[in-house]
Amino acid sequence: MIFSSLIFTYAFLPLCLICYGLVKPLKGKNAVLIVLSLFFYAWGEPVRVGLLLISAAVNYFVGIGIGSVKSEKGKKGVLAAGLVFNIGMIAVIKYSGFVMTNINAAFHSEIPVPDIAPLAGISFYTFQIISYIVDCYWEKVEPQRNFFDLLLYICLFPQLIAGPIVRYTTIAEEINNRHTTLKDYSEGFTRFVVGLAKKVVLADQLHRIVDDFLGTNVGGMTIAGTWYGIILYSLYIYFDFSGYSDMAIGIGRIFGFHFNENFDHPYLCKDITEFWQRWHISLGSFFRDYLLPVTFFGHRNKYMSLALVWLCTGVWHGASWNYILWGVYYGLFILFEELLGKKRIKKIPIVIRHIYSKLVIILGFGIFYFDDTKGGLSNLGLFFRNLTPANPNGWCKAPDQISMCNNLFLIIAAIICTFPLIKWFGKLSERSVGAKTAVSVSGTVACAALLVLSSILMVDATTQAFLYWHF
Amino acid sequence: MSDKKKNVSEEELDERDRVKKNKDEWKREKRTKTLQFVNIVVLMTIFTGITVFMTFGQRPNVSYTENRDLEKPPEFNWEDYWAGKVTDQFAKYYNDTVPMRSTWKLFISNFRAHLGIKYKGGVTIVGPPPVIDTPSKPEDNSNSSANSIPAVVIPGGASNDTSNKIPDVVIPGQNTSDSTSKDTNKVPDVVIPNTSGDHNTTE
Repeated sequence: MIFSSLIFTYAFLPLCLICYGLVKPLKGKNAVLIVLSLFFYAWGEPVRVGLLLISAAVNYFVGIGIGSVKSEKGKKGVLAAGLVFNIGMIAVIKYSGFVMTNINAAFHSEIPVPDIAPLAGISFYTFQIISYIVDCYWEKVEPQRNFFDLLLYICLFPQLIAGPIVRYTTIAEEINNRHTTLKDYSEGFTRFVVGLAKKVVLADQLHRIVDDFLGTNVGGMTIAGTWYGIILYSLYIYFDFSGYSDMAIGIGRIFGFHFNENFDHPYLCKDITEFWQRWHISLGSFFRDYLLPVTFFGHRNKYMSLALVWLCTGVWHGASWNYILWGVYYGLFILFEELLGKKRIKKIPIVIRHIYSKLVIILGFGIFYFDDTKGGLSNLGLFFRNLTPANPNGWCKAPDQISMCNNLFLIIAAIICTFPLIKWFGKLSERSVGAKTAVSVSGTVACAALLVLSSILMVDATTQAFLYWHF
Repeated sequence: MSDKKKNVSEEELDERDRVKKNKDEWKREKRTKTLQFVNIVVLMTIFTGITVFMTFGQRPNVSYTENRDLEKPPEFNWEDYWAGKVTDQFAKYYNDTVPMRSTWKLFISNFRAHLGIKYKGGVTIVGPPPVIDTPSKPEDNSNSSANSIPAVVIPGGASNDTSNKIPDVVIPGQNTSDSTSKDTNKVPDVVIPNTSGDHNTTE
């Protein structure tokens, strides 16, 4: 069940709100959330709930183990066992097929390739669990003694499938002590509607165009068509993923949970380091906090840590060479900026920094797009050729112009929406009482219109599943 | 004595300021809460309205515009449930049989047609507006399958994606309305589906 579907928005979500509202004690509300979250996860493939429950149970005992073992060595041992279990699970389910295929290709062997169906959201909830057991080991949090409270943290449906990667420290207090205020309801609903509109009104419409350009005949595209396709893909991926995060944060807020932000207008960045401080913040901060401190042969090495973080960032996104290449690509630019130094970067004219960062991001999404299902590295080669004058198909043809004209308003709206409009309106509303009322009322009217429009657009069966769903 | 008086009056002023500030803050808070309440009421009204419409509205079982039977609700059995087929089919049914479906589909088509401006350069109109057949009666469609060719074409309405894809049928050379197109038998380079019902080509 995806958030941007009618069945979620107008059947599952109302059911959740009614059940949650009818039950008064917080323990009961938590029970409702657990049952409905498991139902949500079981939708489409009930068997996978078993794996989630096993994972929750194992990590519950790992947490208890870390808390009850006195010696440092013992704690380390329990933590290592937990990490092996979690990373092993994700490795087997997500990467075993990819590894075997590559081993077979490299050594001309015929080792059977396991055909394991991808498990929605496994990367997200496994990382949440890892953050919990490591925080227990670092004594940042008390191990959770109540299995159902830990299960609620792991399986809470707003963030279960596609993040953000919520730390246990973020919501530990709220599991047993929360209440939803009028502000939470208002901002939560608004956030949900904004996220839904980002996904349905912008991302899905952009995706149709991207598919027509990059998804059909990469080799036959013109220079303008290739640039057009990849720029729209960069916009699409932002609205798709940030839309989902907005919906998750909004729903969480309605139920009294306050998740951290996952996006902060990433296309406003002036360099790649800043981009990663604004894009998928929960993943970036996870690697910063849990992977950067890793030592190599007893010593911390900045460059080795950097290489490890960016390799893992690439691998985390999927079992395909393009994702690994994508991680390495960003790692190199981060390294370049690290070597250049912040002071020197700041001396570069801001226009050039913007052009540089947007170019790197857009080309990076080119690498991201061509996974094994879309022709992989061979199509990626054609794509890069077609961006340059070496493209044999010419600069621009009628289909490019037609698509650009036919979708002009959509593209302009998408570009405008990458700016922090809500923040700007928020600042505007602080000027006077009248301004605040005007901004608030127009915000409500806009949200109402977006909710109606998104609901109608969801009728179309072509509504896409979220891109980050299968990560 | 005068100092004392002065002090008292200053204290009084401070107190008045404090009371005034508190009153202002209280007013501001009340206004904010009212605006938040209005926001929730408006959004919840729409949300509840659509939920009721989706739950109790009459669901169609045939699409005349697409000339096909719509998805059916699943039949429950445990084997299919564990394979995920039951929930999958239910989601398909729920989405495919939205009350007033054809109205929304037409709206979506019109919405997409207004996402930009009409491209005019190098366009040649090569055919008359297609004749729209009278919708056939439900019983006539009882044997239709989901993949059958549409008998009735509502431009852009029946298809999920019209603005960027080449249509299935092109009628070149009929009532060419653009005088620049002399060679009516020429195979068009690009065919642009038009939401107004025309088939356009560029040369």
